[in-house]
Amino acid sequence: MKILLFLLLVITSLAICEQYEFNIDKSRIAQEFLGKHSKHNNNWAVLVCTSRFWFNYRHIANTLSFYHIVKKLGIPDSNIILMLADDVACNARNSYPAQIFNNQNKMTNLYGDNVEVDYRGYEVTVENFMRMMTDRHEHEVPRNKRLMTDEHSNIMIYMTGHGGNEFLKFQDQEEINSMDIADLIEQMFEKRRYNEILLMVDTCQAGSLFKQIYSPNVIAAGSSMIGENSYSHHSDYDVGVAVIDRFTYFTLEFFETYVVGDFKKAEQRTLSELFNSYNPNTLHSTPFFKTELSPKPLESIPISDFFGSDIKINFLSGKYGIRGNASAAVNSEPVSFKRVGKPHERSKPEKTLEYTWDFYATFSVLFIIVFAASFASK
Amino acid sequence: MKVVIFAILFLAVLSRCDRFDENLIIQPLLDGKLASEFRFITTAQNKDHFVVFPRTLAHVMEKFNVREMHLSLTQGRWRYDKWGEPLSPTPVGAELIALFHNSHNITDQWKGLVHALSGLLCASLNFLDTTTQSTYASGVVSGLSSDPNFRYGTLSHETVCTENLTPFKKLLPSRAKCGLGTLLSSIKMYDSQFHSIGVHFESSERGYELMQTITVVSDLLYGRTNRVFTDFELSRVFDQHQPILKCPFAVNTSVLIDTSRLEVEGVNPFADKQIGFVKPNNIAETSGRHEHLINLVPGTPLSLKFQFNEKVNIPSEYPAQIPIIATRHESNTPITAELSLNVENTLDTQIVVHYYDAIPWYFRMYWHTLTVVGGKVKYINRRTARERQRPAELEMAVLLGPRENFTVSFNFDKVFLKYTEHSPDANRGFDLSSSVLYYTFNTSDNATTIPLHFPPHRDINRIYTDSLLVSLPTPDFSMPYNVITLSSTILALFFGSMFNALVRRFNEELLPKQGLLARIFQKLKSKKS
Repeated sequence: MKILLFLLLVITSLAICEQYEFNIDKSRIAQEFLGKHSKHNNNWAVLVCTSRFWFNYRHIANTLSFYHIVKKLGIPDSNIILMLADDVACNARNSYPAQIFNNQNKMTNLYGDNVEVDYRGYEVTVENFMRMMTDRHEHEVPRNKRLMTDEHSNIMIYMTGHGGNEFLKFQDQEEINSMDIADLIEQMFEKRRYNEILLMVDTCQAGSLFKQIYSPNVIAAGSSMIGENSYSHHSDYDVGVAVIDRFTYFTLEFFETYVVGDFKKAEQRTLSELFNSYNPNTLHSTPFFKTELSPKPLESIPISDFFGSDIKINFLSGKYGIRGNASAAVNSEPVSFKRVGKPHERSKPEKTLEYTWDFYATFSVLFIIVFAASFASK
Repeated sequence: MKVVIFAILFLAVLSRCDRFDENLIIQPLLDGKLASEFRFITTAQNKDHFVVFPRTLAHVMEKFNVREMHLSLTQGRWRYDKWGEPLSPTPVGAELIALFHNSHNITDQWKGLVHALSGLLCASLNFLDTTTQSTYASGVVSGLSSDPNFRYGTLSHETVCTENLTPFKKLLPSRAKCGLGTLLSSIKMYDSQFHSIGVHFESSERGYELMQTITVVSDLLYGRTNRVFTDFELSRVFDQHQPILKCPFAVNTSVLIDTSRLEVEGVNPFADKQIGFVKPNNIAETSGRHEHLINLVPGTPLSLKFQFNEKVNIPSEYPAQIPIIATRHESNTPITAELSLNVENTLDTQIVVHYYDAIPWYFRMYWHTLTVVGGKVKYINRRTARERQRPAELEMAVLLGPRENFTVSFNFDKVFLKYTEHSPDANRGFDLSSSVLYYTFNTSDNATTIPLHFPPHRDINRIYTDSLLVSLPTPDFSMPYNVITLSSTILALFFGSMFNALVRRFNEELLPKQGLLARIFQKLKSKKS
């Protein structure tokens, strides 16, 4: 009898497994996945430079250019994973210490005074990249090395380095291939780690990297078709190396002219406008776009879905008074920070507590009185 | 009565609050450079409530039971012979010293700590993790004569740049937006001969104490052609065009100008000549012979201009500024190598030198070749390495007579590493981290071992040697693929032909005997087709 029951159990479980195995309707899941929450509510950026050595300066400059764009458009450092395979800013060969430029006019120092590199040097490996994307970390790994996305996250992934047909080289040592990337994204989809992904790759034969991707809601843009090289834009003779690649340069130019430069219309810019702005003659390669995995037409996807962030800001009604120490307080006024945002947005000021010593003092005195009273009544 | 007691208690609690002080020490050096050290000291007396103390750091330290932690990220060489004793001694690259509250589960605590710190300061300190057996770290050691709660690790090949300075600044209560923090410009800091970031944490019954230090040796003092001390402004050194204002967060902001390093016996470029400096009149100053202390007051901006009253040449040669000079080198053949350390006493007095070195397991040390020439050895302690687990450690103390020098040398083999154990740029070589040297003038016989975590002490000074780059036999990394393809081809050829030869039967074909009718029928059939 027991054996029969056991068999029955096994058979039913097998049947269930079978049902799960073969009846997966991906488009249905995708619709379920997106139907309720078609809109994302957080943005992440993963920016990867896979090249080591000084002469690959331009790859680091490419990545940092994207870092600047997304940061300027509102994605905070906590939502950006920056991977740089080498340190060129403080490299002994750099005649401009702690500075990286992406243009020979040297208008903007990409390294600035506020840059947080999450994976650097030897940490930039295929293993770490895959662990980060699929969230398979050892438990000690700190927050800034984790991609903490959910099904409402839009992720912008930018990769640059040296590549070939269906692979991208990491650090002269190993490669990630198109199959790995496809598996990676599928795993992310299964784990509900994204809402939409925009994958941009600036490398030779970049289009070949997307060949195997099959997960829904992924848009991919590569700098060149299979069999084509991607080229650098120009060299700086003071730095001594090429400073930026063409695809990145023209992307940057689009953002500077139409998004950052024309802020009023920035929200109306769509991905199709960005993709149409590339000119194969100036790129010296044919850009490749993989759009069929996304149900939405490119014209309806605003650029701000990927390059920008939806942040809710709560305003305090009062001052944030800082009185570090008695003697400091005597001599100085409390510092008040400027409030950001437009005043009309703060029509209903929330009542918040001022976290100063005054608050604690009054609270503690009240507490003591009540406590003492209870003691006295006993 | 009870109310009064409670009120007193309450006041006592209220008085235990955070405090932030910032100091800057400026020392012109004899070779025309300028050493400056920023010290930002934050203390918290209440371990549960912080006003200005960085909560992120306190949380990490509390979680991993850290009693004391010293971290430094350094690039450049401190020129001991020219500049003298360092303001705060550090080796090249990253150095992490940690003392835990208890030794229970210390490996896990250390692992958690290095990962957390690597996240907090954007440094690759996670390679100091002992369990991954990474070969990038020159070794995580516990020190021979140290406490069981102690761990020490160095990463000689750690780069230091703006991405480390940015989170460092975020630990400051002022976020480097006011006070002395405004002088921390990354461009000027990294355009220097030597720079070092230090984070020193201590937890005690009194609360938490955090000292963040930045040491920079700037190259600004002289024009490159005329080697003459020239006037300079402090703002120019740090590329800050605004005068410094006292930070409202800081209780005490002070600038100490220390010219003692300029006045050296036998050289004396500034014998009896004072170095003047111009500052606003309403800022008070306390002066010693070599030291001028300026305390900033709120509301009064400080701009400092240094003036050398007379044209003084920068001396091109002068005696060593430090009691001992240590050099370490490696003589190299492709397979075996010899490491030797030479320490010279530059003084006319006796000195005791303590030497500590950790040799990674991939440099297989031959203890029987250990030789010490010169000096009087007081003790030698050693511990052998264990492959992929711990480095070899050597500790000794040597008494050196006046102007005497001693040499320690030993041979080691270079181990063939596994293919996957090499770094992404394997041909660069492997780093052998700096050895640690302590020296003391206390030559009494009861001078015992000095633990690695020995706190800075007036009688005992610490210096580091340079780190070494040792090339290990690197494989041809495409070799595995070549081997696989070649051996597969050979195997396929061999196996295919052998299998064919073995299976095929070379038999005489025996046709079945057929009758006459059948033969005719077959012939007809073949003709038909």
